[in-house]
Amino acid sequence: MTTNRREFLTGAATAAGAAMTPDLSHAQQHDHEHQAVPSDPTLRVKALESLLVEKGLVDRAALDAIVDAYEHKIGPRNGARVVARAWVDPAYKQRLLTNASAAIAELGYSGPEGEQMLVVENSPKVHNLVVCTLCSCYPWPVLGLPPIWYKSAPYRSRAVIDPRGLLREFGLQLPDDVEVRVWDSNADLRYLVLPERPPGSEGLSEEALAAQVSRDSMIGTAKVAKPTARVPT
Amino acid sequence: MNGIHDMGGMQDMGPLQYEKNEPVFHADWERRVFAMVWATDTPPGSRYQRDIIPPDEYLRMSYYEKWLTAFVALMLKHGMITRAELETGKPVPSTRKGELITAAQVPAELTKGETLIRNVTVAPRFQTGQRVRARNMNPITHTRQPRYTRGKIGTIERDHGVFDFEDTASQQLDKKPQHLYSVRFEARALWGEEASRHDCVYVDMWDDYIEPA
Repeated sequence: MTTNRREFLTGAATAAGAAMTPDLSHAQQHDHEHQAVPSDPTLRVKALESLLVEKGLVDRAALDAIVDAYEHKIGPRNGARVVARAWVDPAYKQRLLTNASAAIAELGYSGPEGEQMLVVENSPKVHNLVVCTLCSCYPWPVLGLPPIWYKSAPYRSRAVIDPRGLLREFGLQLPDDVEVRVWDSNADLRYLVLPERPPGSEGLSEEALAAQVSRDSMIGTAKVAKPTARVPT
Repeated sequence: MNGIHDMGGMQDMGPLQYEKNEPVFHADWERRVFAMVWATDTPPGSRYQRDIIPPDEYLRMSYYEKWLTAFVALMLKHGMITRAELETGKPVPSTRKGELITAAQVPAELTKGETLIRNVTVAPRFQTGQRVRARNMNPITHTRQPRYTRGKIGTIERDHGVFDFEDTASQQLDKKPQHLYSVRFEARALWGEEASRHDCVYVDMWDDYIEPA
């Protein structure tokens, strides 16, 4: 375990990535006493679901509806609409910065992991970055479920101690005199970054603005790109 | 608990692994695990069950493997399922059931959430602008006070209001509702003179986590 820790971690991260075939060969080699998940989660999870259905603890159709919602309805497009509205409507922006949960609910977004929201605003002098060092806390109603990197050890460990180095890995180099504010969602608050409106977006409609806003810009690992498409009339 | 989950400030955890156009789930079993955890009316304590996954396994497991492991452990702990049932797949009546969410109830549940802020009067122990020190505490139970803040001095930036104290609520003890504050720690106060003098970390701290500085 100690000889090739980096390789081990990289392997785990890769397995958690695109292919997503959990690599449990290490566990088998190392004779883990505590191992709670056998090598094939597919079968284990099927068996567990059947058991819980038979016991009346879950309803299969409810599970389908939950999956469908988080795959197709609850995602970063919601947050992008909040951001675009704040850019075009100063009164809305004010409400968003003073009572985020209520302002977000005005657009119809609410629910688990978004009950107590705080929106933090970027400016030429301040850049905000959100992390959960303890786990994976993330504002579901506006951003959906977090990407793997957000929940990973490299991100959680570094965001608070080396935010600038981490942001460079994302391709974002910040000037030295910009204040970097890192928000650890360690307790009951959930955070959304209000990114800067990009230059050259003056003529865009609210809808076109929302299309420019990336998930990462609302976590704080990116800026909103300058629009390249022709300004719609 | 001083576990592997409390990662803020650790170093050499490897490069960031960024997946472009990442799907919400990477396998069907992840969909089912997420939805089962979402839908099952378990008692509090799921986070603690994830915290106590042994460190080597915690680092190796994918995210939803951790969820699955903690979910099963929590249901076993509270008698919602038994080991025999897991082994045989044959259900016996549960001592504890919880409320069943039906498909018809899902749309409302998706927008409802929990009421986290408590509508009770509790005097705040600290004021905005006050300098505070994060207490040096090492509980072996669940805590939301990140290790990297302990003993460090910061400033109260905002009073979020009164919330249940997760450290005790997660153990089904007294919920101890109290004020939760946004505390600003300068990067140099946390990490020393090498850190940028422009940078800072905001951490949410309950009254019980801090003392006057």
